[in-house]
Amino acid sequence: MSVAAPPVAATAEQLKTALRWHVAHSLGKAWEDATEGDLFQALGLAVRDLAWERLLATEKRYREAGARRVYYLSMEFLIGRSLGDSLHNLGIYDEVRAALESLGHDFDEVREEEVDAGLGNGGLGRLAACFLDSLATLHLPGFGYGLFYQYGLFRQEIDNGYQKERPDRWLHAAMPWTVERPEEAVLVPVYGRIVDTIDRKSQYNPMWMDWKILVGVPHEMPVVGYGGETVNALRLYSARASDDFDMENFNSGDYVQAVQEAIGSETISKVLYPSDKVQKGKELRLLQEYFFVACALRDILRRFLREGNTIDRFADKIAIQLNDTHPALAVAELMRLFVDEHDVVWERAWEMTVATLGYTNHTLLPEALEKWPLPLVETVLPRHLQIIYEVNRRFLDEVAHRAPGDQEILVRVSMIEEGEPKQVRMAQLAAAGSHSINGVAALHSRLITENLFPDLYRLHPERFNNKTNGVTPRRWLLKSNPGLAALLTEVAGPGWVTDYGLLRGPLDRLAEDAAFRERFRDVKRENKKRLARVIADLTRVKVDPDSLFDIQIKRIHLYKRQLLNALHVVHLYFRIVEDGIEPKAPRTFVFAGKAAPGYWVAKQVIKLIHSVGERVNRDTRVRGLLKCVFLPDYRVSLAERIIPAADLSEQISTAGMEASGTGNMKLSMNGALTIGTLDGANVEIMEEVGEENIFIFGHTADEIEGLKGSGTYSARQVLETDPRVKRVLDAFQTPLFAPFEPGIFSWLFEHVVENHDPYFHLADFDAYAAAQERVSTQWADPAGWTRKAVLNVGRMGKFSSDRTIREYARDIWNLTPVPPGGNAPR
Amino acid sequence: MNLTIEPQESFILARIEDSRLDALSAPDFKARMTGALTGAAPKVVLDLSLVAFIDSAGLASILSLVKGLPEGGELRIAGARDAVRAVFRLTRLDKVLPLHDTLDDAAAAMGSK
Repeated sequence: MSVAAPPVAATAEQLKTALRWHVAHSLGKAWEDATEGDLFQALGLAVRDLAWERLLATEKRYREAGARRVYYLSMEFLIGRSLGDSLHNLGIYDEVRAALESLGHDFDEVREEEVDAGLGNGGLGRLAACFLDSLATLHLPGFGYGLFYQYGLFRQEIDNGYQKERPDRWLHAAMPWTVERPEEAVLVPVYGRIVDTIDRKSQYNPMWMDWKILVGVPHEMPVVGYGGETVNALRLYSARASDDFDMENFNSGDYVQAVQEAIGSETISKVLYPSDKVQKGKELRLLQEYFFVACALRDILRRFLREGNTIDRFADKIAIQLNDTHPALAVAELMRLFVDEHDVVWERAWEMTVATLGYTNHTLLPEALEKWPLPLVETVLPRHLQIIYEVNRRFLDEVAHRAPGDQEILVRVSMIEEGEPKQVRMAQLAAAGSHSINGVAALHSRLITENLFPDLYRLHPERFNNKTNGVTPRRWLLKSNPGLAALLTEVAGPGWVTDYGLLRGPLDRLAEDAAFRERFRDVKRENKKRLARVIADLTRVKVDPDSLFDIQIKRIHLYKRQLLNALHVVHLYFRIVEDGIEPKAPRTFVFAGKAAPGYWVAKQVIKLIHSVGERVNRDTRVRGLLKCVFLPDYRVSLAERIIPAADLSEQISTAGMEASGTGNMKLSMNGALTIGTLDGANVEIMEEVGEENIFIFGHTADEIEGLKGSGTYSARQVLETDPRVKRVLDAFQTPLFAPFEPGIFSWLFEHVVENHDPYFHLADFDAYAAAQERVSTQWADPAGWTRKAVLNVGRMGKFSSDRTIREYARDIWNLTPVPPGGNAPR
Repeated sequence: MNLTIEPQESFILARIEDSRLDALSAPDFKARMTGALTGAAPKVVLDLSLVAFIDSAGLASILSLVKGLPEGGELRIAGARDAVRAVFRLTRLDKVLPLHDTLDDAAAAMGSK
């Protein structure tokens, strides 16, 4: 039988042919034996063919335009599933559904075969994925670089209410999207020592010797922009042992040791660290960060030179964005590449490095700012430590020149922190080496200049800016909420998919239209019925789709205050069973999220929520007025089920602690009203949707700072003066919520009462309960509630990642779109 | 290791005839080269055109030869492939040793001094 090339499919007929071709030739199966999993693979390959064809055309367009490019360096890309998004963006979603159905298969069942690519922890990684979507949609030459983890974020199982972590073997289900490119592997040296020599010009020449070599193999994944005309790439690197790595051991006959070393080097990209916060003293994490940066920069430089550019034009053609401090070693590595490998003089190399790099900060929490023990950096990256020393020396000279006589400032801004051992401060390194330093919401960006880098801000105010986060409406509305998306398209036309602001006018008007509100409510109710089925499947708890779905979905952390929510649930429970007061709104509280495996208290919070749910859901006195469920294994695909069904979005972090949040945006975009503190992007959401369409409560960031500074806050006083709080907390000292595990919640009292709770749970309890009362009152007025929900959806234009990316492109990257058929820049 | 050492008119030509200079072959390479560089001011061209891979042990063996050269001695590298040049650049050994594209270039440079 002759084997023709598979057709690149764009119509239903071509797709059918391509599917049959891939089942036969790529999977080696007879059509009648193909399972749903096989069909997913075949469909993935057919779509990949189309995406790759467009990717090559896009790359050609960029090259011909001599386009400036941006590279987005992120340790995490929380992609989730790709099939649905790719089909929507390629414009063949309906064709594929039709093709599969005409072949006798259920499209939705085939889609369910895809596993989530969970290569991230939470907001930071999902932001990176949204940004890639917007870059491609806006025809911007923007590419992602990251690690191809063999194991993504752990799979969360719940056992007796406790989180258990299981490995996420996402690669075991074959991935049709990525193409491995071993021919473009890069060599990355680590460890070794510096040998002082004199070069041929009698200058000092530090030589990096005795290193070990890692091999970085790229895996390329197409990123399809909406409309399918621009397809960019995400390059993820896996680590391999190099041939030479084990030669010495192999030669001496120690085969086992040799193989262990090979395994050791491959470990570099094996597992995603299950926290986006600092990993103190973890050599493997430092190796991961350097390996990823080194692979990315070598590849970027290789591509740049391949296009006939000369090194001195690097910053003219290339912008690199550091997603938090994890890639901060790019400052030292870029300097090393320029100075050591391309003979650029130090001053010019520094100029180019700063002009190239931009740094996005994602946290203000002092304990979450990355620092590495200096001896560890010296062991793993001896040459880079030399470079950091020299960068720091020159930087401190500049500071001393501009602030003569001020010794304190030198201590504060130094990249090396004194102590035993000394530490390398990655945030200071990233900030000093970047021409742009941005926060991710207006409040956060202000706090960066006031609290995190006040000295640098005084020296270089022009470097600081804000880029409020955004989310892609393609993933978070068009794909995940097809009912609402269709309704929006019907009333506002299809343009909103790439220009979200188009919704505001029509929806402001239609919010007053009772017939439209009815249709809007119908869509929400269908989504809630679907989620109710998911809840029943996952938890065996039956919930009422007509109750208020009160949703808190995010990483479990004390600062995000799931605990405050849970304490309030208990308060409502007592109001029903002890006070005989029925809530105005029957509620279903839905929690989901993972706790970092080493974060003991967060894991106890998960247990507490389960215990509360067990009690509340089974108590017949509650009569269905209250349900509380925890959905296991929160991930992107589960979020896509929950968010469209949400009525209320819990964004209740301690003010000043959440950099931005993006779940708040997704939920509001899907017609949930927000109950939240004035934290992160909540502030701007309030500005956009209007104070009357959001439930704001609690201490502000400045007030929290005031409480901290004055030392006047006493949780015990709240406990003693507010009988509601006392009743709730006292209940956890009894067996009520854990009849078979007495004493398991003793930690609660310690954390929220005794130890000067830094998250101020009880300080905000009264305001939170009052805000929840306002929520219930509003819920009792369905027309008014839906009106607000419609206004929320329509006024979220600011929070499309398209707006965010346009701002990055304009203010930081100096990047111009290169649309097909457009006027390409030179 | 396969190493040929041939005296030329004005220098010694050493050619590695293996594809690797690594931890396995470096000790032998170093010993044989040290034995050959016995003159007062030896001038050596090391032909690496057949070497596809060099590791840090291989580089260290070359560096030790450079350091062991007596006053007036000279070592030049000829024909290093891109991958090998990259390793020289990485360590900054290229700033100590001259790298020439071809044997003729290296010979000419040696002769012109």
